[in-house]
Amino acid sequence: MSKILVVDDDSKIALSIAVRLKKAGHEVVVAYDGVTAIKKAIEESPDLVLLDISMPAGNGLIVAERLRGNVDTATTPIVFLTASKRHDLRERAEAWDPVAYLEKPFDADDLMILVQRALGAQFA
Amino acid sequence: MPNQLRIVAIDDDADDMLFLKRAARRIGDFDIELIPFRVPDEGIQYATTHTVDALIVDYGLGGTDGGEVVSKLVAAGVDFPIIVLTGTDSTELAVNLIHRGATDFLAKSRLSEESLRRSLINAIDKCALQRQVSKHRLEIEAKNDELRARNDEISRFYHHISHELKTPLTSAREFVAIVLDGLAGPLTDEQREYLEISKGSCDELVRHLNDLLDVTRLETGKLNLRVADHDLRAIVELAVKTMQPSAAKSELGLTVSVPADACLTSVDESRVRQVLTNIIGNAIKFTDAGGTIEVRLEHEDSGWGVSISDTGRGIPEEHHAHIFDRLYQVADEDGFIGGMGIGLNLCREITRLHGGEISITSEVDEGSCFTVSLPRRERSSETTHAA
Repeated sequence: MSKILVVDDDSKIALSIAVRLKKAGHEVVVAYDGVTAIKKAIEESPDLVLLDISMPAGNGLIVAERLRGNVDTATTPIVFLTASKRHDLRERAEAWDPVAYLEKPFDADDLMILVQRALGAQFA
Repeated sequence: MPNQLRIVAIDDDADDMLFLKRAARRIGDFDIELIPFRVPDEGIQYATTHTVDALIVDYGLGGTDGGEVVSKLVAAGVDFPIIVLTGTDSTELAVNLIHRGATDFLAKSRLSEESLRRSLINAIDKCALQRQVSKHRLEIEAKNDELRARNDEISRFYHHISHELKTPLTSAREFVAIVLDGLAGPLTDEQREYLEISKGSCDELVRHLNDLLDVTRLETGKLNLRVADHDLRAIVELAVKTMQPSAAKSELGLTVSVPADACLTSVDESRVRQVLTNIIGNAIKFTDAGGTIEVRLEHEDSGWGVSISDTGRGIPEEHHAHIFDRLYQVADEDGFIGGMGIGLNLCREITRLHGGEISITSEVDEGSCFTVSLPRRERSSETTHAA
């Protein structure tokens, strides 16, 4: 069982992801804004962060920058969730060494496969 | 001041000036205020900084000529009439002056109070008309800008509203999917059937909203292609694979054929797939059970053509010229209109962004064939191409 931090300002989307991850046997921590996300990432030391890039007030890129700058979370795998049309954000996100990008709206199967791969890569 | 005209006269000849003052004291209902200048530049200076109704200038000025005065005034953007008095009755000179921007010219040899008055009245009328025309033009331009701004505003509104609708819809679909996947407990077959319908409707709504978003992107020039080199065969085959379940559900055969060799070209993979799935989706919608849809990728003169032909009800010829126009809708014999009239328009615009074209051949009750032609374009590296 792994601990996964899900960050999305759309609380319903965050909840839907959390439901799937929990049912797959993971422990899930949810944050709906950037500041809380950074706080929980440091407190909870998750094995993986699913991070929405486009969030108001502390967008995903800032969160990623802070996580990389902190000793405890510097190497935590990050999967970015992106609105498919924002290629510009995606290019900027590359700097924070993400494991993968998942374009919204995404297929639930793709999410679960990606999560397994991201966790596997970490423990390999 | 009503009924008063201010006229600037530039003339270094005292006799001429006296004549002008006398002749132009009063014209019709107008009192004339004649402001005389001997030095051309002083006259120009005055005329370009005051409200002036007309200007009379002598062509034969010492040192400078009247033509230069005309040019300087025109360059300064004055909008009052300029009348030039000439010593000779030369047509060539007259044409030259008119070209430079003079409104009229009068040969001194034929100058009379009457001819001067007539010329002034004509010139002032003509300028008043021109002013009115240019005022109207400015008004029309302003109105046009306003309409354009309004149009942009509406586009932004549609974009915004589509986004706002999509967010709750995405979570609605997602939770239906969670229940369908059995994550909230076991389902009866009946429950599963109804939830499948619900999820299908969500997917349909998402597609409509995406189309609307794309239309607003097209309108505002923000539909950007993300092009890279691709083998068209893979794109065509994936599009067909995606639509296979839907064709099967409608009891239609959906086949695909592609050349043996790679069909490399530079395209936005997801956009081309969007065009193909849209057209295949239409074919499925308008073909009765038992029919077939054939998707064929073939070499064309300067690129590749993907044709999607069906055995459906067909489209009457009078619609062919407009079927790709935005908001154009084809009603069936019962007057029923399907769709929003933006799907095929999007297909054409996306194809055109790729430098390609889309065409249709169709016969009623025989079927339709849409062909998407894409040029052969290769790029060594992935680039983002702004529309």
